[in-house]
Amino acid sequence: MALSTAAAIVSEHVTTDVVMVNLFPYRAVRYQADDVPTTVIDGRKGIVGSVPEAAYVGAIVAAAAGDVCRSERMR
Amino acid sequence: MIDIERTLGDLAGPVTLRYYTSDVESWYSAAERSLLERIAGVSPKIRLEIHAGRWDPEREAAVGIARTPAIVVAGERDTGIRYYGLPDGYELEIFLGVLRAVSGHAPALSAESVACLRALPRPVHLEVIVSPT
Repeated sequence: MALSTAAAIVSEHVTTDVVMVNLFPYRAVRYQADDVPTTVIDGRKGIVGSVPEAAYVGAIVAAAAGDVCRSERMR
Repeated sequence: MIDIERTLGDLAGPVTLRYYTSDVESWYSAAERSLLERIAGVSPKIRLEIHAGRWDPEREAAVGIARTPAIVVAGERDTGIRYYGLPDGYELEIFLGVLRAVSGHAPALSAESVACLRALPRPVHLEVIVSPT
């Protein structure tokens, strides 16, 4: 299963919206999401494409710690 | 072809799907409703609630949805997972996996990842933009 939903299942601190781009294309436009999947973390484009679990969780942890930019470096 | 019956045949616990949609049916909402009814029909552990109505800001805020159609996925607790749109194609396979995990089958995350996610110092919201292909 997807890491985004798995994160929400194991942690009460994580909520996850899964948005079908065909029905809500404006969400992709808003975040300039040219590729899928794109994960937006707290309203900021965070992870593009499929990445290893450690990198994905690391990006979430970094965002929670206030270092969202780190997730861009982890791509 | 995804075998829904086989995938959801051994759910560990209850799963509730709350489907919020417009009271004016469209081809899209009919397809989504049909899929959810089919999913709910394969296991007595799945409860489907259909809320068809006009946009109600107070209710949607209380439920925690941003737009419709929306599917709220809950198990023993509200997982905070919201699906916006019909999870078709590969996304259906992932959606069924979510239902299994919500029912109590632990998702395949490492113990280290689980510990990190549970120790987050504040809430984090993810929005994942996907294509149902």
